[in-house]
Amino acid sequence: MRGLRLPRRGAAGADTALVARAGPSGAGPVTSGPVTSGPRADGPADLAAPLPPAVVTRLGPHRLATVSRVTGTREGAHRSTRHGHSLEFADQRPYVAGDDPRSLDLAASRRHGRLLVRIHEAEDDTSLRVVLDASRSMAFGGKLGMAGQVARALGHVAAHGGDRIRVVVATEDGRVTASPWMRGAATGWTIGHTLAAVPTAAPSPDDQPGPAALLDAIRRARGEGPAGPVVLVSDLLVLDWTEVVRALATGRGDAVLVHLLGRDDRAPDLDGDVDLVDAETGRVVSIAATDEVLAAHTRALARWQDEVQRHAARHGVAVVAADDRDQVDEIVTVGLRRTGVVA
Amino acid sequence: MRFANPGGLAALGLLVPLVVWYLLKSRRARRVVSSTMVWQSVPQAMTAATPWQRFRPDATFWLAALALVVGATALARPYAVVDATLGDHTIVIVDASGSMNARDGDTTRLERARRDVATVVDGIGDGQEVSVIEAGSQARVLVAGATTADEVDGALGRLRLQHGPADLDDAFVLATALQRPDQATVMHVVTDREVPGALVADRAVSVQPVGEVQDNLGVTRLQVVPRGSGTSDLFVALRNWSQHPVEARLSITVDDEEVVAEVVDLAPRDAIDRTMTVRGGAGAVVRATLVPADDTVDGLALDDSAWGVLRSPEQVRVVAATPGNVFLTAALEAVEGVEVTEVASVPDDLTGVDLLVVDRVAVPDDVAVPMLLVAPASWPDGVSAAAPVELPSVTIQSDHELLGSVDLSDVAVATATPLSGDELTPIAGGTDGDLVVAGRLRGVPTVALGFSLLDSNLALTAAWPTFVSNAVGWLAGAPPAVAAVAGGTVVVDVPAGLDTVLVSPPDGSTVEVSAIAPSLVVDRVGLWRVAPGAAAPGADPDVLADGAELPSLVVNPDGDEGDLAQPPPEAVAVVAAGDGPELAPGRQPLAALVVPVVLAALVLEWLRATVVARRRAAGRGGRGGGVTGAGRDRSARWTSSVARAVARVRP
Repeated sequence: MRGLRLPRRGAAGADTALVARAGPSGAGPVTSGPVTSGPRADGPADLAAPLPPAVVTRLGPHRLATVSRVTGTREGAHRSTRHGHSLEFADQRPYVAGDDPRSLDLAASRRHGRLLVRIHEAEDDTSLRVVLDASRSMAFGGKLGMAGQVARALGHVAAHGGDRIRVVVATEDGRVTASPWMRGAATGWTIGHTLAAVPTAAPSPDDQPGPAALLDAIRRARGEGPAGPVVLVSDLLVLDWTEVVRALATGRGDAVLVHLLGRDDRAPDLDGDVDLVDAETGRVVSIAATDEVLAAHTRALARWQDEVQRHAARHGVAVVAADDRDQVDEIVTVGLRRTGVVA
Repeated sequence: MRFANPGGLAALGLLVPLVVWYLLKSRRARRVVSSTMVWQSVPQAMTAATPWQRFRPDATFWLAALALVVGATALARPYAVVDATLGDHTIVIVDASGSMNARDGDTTRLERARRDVATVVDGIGDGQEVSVIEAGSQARVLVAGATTADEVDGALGRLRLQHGPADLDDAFVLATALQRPDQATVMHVVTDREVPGALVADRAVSVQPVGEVQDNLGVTRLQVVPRGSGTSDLFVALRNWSQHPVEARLSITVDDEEVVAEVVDLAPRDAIDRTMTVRGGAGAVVRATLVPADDTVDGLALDDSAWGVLRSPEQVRVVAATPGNVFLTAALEAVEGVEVTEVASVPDDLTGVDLLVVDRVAVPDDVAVPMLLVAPASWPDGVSAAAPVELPSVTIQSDHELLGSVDLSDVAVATATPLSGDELTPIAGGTDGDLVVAGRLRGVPTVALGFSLLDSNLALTAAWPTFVSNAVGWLAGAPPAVAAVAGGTVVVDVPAGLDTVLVSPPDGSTVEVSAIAPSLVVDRVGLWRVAPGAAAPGADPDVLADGAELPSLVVNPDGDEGDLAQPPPEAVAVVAAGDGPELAPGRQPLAALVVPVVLAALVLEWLRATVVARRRAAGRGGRGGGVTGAGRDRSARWTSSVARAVARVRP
């Protein structure tokens, strides 16, 4: 992993971001410091590319985690909004006819002079939604491939913990593709099958621009099924990105944004007079790519990233700043772990 | 590499505006980016183009620069310095002999020579001159002192195909006459034959060989001998110049009607003769043609045929010195074209006499006309007469042409004198000696009979008139009609009453020959038609009748030109004469090599522009940097197959 910005949950601004750096093997954090540009390397090229075996091995000990209570469909390992039969004491209440006599708290009943029963916490499974931005802007560099890798990695983590997961993809042609709810060993294959059906192509100057239905994808992910965490993997390079963040924060369950930018976004290789064509909107911006202009772009990008961080924090959305050259297991086991979605 | 016109390199200065144009040209590259959202917030993002761009040459620039550089180089007329082939004055002598008509592959040797010379003179430089001499039967100057390659090319176009031998001596005489003392002169000889060493001595001469060793057949001679009664004897000489035996077909035609066709076998490098008798009227054209009957390659076509013209036997004046012999005079008068004058003794003046017949009278020793001696009273010097013998037998007869169709077996002789002589050949005789001899006495054809007709029954046999006819023909017959040889000079017979005759060579042209200068160089084989030309003042109008034809001329190939088995001469580079001025180095022009580069650059630019336009029209497809449809399809297929496999193993 070349650079990974991990803001604290609820924190705002780049000054609160943590940086974890790893060696070339991605074996784990070795040092920390400000974000720097490492040597250029292409990320995964294919949205449906399988996870490397080494990554799968490193993801083994990790499970999904939740910060807020969940309402699951089965018993699981996450604190539920309901009471159940876990060992975790939750409360006491007066005995009513029909209660299991074994739940009587004899000591408390003796102390209070009336029959009281013990109420324990319930532990449910959680239902994770991964929303992937497969818009045309994601086709630059290795962003799209990295998004697929993150989805597969989360699927692997969820399957390992017995949780459910669903992948919703906002495709470049304005449609929303969603996988079924998945659980168990076949999760990875099903995710791969879903991602393989997503239309993607290399950008071309002759393409007709078109926005992705990212808002629709988020709303669909939020609106179906029990409450649970939502992870959005996107570069957020849309004019209504604030709406996207707001939609992500709407509803119950944790919300995490994996803000994935690529080499071409951070330091585009431009020179001379260039007509920049927006891959999604088709809007043309004519620039003279001098050193001053490129430096100004870098500063503008940093300001925009800070603004995204602040806006997300305002709405309770955790942000993981990632690069398409990062290692996917670093994003999951370090970045998402700090957001509380992965334990 | 050097430049004949260095000023042409000034065209390289056009590179400067080209580069400046690329520096100033606002070329807004259209670049698709993931988003322009951030760029819109960059205050310094300018829409105005910067006046000075970074120099970013593209493929078009490099191709244009390449075309410019190569074009400027071509304008500078680059050349490579090679060994001296052109002097200040180069005299090219091109062999235009008959053998240069041989085809090596798809071109004749003369055409190859023309190309070679054109290649050599392409390097002509400033101040250099080139002269071209055609070395045919008569050498001639095609161009003298040409200063451009175009002039020389024009002169080479006037080279004529000839069929005779090359007169290299004459050509070198002309070349020497063209030399000037203030110029370094090179003589460049292009030939398929060895150049005599005497010609190249003390001269700066280079020899450029042409030609390859080939097989060839030919008719080297055709002689026609009129025999009277409308018949003529043909003598045909055939030649095989190849190194292996050849089966060939010989065809004889008289006025285009084939009268003889036979297959002949020719040994390697062999020459054979054929004699035959044909019938035809005077003026009929005889043609002998020899072509291979097997798959032998016949390298030279012009010597495959020879021509002849039949003619009538000429009038023969015979003087018969005899005391009276009706058998002799009757037999002589029976011969066609013979005019017999009977005298008692040999006259002193034999002027105009074609044949002297001496019968039982004395023979002077200084007779200079052909003689038929029939038991003369005295024998001339050179003839030895033995003692007379009685009843000699005639048991031996040679195959001499005197005995053609003659059988002397029934001849009986009462008394005879056996004859002998160093210059005489026995014709007929027996054990007692030779009774009939023939030969040349001091160069005079002579036939002698050692017995009198009165002592023999020879005059009473059928063999006698035939023998006399043979003897008249052998002794005083018309000389064989010898055709002219290509490249030679003939004297045209201009009839009385005409000032000129018109001679038409086989190529269809017409040459007017006057009676004052009737000689004509015949440089092509075949039949040369002769027609009346301008009439002399006061001439007989019958001579000028339209369409009247005079005896045609026949020109046969030169036998030496057909030997294509001779290897071409060794190539000889220019060697300056000992004390002569130094030769300027030769120039090998290179402009022809660079022009294709310009054309290739232009074609590449056109192809590049076409390909780019097609790619843009094709829209998506195959651009790197993203996920391709092919990869997605492969992944989908792989994932589907794995899913099906998992479904199968599940209960």
